[in-house]
Amino acid sequence: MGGTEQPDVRLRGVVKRFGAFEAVAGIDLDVAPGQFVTLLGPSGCGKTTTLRIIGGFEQPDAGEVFVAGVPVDSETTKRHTRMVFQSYALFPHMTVRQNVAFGLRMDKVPKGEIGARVEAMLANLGLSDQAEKYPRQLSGGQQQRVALARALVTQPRVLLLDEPLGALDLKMRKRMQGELKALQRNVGITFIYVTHDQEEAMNLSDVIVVMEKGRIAQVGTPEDVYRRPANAYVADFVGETNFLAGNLAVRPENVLIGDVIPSGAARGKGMVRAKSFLGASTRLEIETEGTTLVATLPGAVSIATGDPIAFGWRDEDALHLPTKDSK
Amino acid sequence: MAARKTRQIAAATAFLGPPSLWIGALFILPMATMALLSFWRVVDYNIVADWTLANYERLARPLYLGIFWRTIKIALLVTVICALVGYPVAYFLARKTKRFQLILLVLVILPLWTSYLVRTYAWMLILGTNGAVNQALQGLGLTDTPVSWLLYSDFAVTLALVHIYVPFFILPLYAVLEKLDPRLLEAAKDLGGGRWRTFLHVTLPLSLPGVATGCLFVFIPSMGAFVTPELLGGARSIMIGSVVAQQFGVAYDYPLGSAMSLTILAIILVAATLFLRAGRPAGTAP
Ligand SMILES: Nc1ncnc2c1ncn2[C@@H]1O[C@H](COP(=O)(O)OP(=O)(O)O)[C@@H](O)[C@H]1O
Ligand SMILES: [Mg+2]
Repeated sequence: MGGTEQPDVRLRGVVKRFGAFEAVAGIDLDVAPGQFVTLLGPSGCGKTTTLRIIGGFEQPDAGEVFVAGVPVDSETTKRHTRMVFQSYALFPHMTVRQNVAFGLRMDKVPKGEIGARVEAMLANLGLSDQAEKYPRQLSGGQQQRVALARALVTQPRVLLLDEPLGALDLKMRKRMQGELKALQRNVGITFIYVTHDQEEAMNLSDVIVVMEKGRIAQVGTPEDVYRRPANAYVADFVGETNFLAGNLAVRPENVLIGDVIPSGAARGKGMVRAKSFLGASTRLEIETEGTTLVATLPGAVSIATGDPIAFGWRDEDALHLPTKDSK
Repeated sequence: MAARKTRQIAAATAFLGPPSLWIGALFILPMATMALLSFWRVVDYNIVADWTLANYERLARPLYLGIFWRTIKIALLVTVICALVGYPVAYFLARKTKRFQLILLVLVILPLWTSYLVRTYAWMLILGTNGAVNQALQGLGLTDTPVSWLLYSDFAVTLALVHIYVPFFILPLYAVLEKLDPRLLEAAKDLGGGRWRTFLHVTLPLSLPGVATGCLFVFIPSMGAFVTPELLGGARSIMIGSVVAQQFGVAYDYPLGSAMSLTILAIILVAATLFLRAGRPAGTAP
């Protein structure tokens, strides 16, 4: 995160209340230009509200928002952000081409230039063949692309995306993840992306902002957030975690079993209570002293349910979580 | 299998039977009767089943053509005025007010609870020679003698019809505007659309189905208006509804009255097709 550069987006002490309820409870955040930043958290933690504040759709009750150094408020018409809505919000009475041209028409760009830029954007997103169709004639993935094209053609500094892949099936979602990432690298602008899917966040982001009840729990690279979670909440939300005594935790893929446990890494014995073969890996639930430890092992294993088993982990693989109040 | 089929038929009959009877008795039967009558003739005050096109030929006379034409003009004028007056009201109701929404809706609907006749008579009191408007004009010294064209004129008929039917324009449009996805308006604003251009390029085209329905709901009863033009219209501002009523009343010419009614129906069907086609925004299913 370039230190001296002016951040593309800056939030300072942002609060948003709905009635007495604080949907956003004091957020500070700097987003450096050109980054793919993801707001990650469970449903209702304030991700959409935060994004809408950045986009100027909601007025915060306290705090300040700057985009490209300029304060944002809902009356600003000339904005540096564009939003890709969760439901796409494509204009149903306009063709794909008209939808994509809309922002340029509103910006009073000369006609000839509009045509050229729209065609280039349609080609870039593989929509040239769909240009004369109406949104309802398109698949979910195509509508998604039109929404992206409509926003990107206006060349914003920052693109805001609210769970844009939520409505797609798993396969399409995976594919679009790849395309989104490539697109972001291609256009080189800042993406602020909202999702509750931690895998998606890991896959796409340069920086993940983990949110909890209107606050930021941790900001870091996917690796930071996964390997060095700031607290138990982050460890639990990002990836699966076995919480151990004290403030120790261990990821299932770091649990070792049987005779591969190096000396010094052995931790105890238990019994296999459940086993599921997941293709690339096998998941074991090991019962030990009244608690359950989850282990994921690569490939297939020859252990059966009910078998006694030894387990362990390396010291360096254990997560040391600060206790809640020491944060 | 057979038992199930029987059950299905029984269920369908139970569901569709009563409405079919209802529509048959109150709609299709009278229509069919009128269609038949319009091809018969009256001989010595008796209706005889003597097939003829004479009734339709009589309609083509300048007298009736003129009345048809005036009726269409007044109905269209009423429709256009209702649209111009009703659109802002429906828009405000649906999109601009949360606090007064209920009160305003009630204000729009309330007049529908008072009799059509009462509202027509009210206009006589307001527009008459000694009516409220003339007294106000004279009181303000704007005129010495009462303005006579206020009442018993096309003006009075148009004004009263607008007043009576404007709720029928507002309500369907309100329903459409209310359902308009607010995200679309946010998207338009996000893309740099100001208020006016967002309205022009997004709200207005997407509300056209409501406008079309509203126009129909005003145009249809205006075409058939009878009481209001009778009471408020002048001797020369007669509308076709009154002429139809005469045929079924004093003139005792059911065949001619039927031919007129079916012609009005045909005009309305043509208008309905045109309105609904014009009101279908691009990209939506027909
Ligand atoms: N317009 C609103 N009025 C009242 N409550 C709202 C409104 N928008 C959001 N909320 C509430 O604020 C909280 C956060 O919402 P949101 O930002 O949409 O969460 P997320 O996107 O993380 O699921 C939720 O509890 C939601 O019910
Ligand atoms: Mg959300």
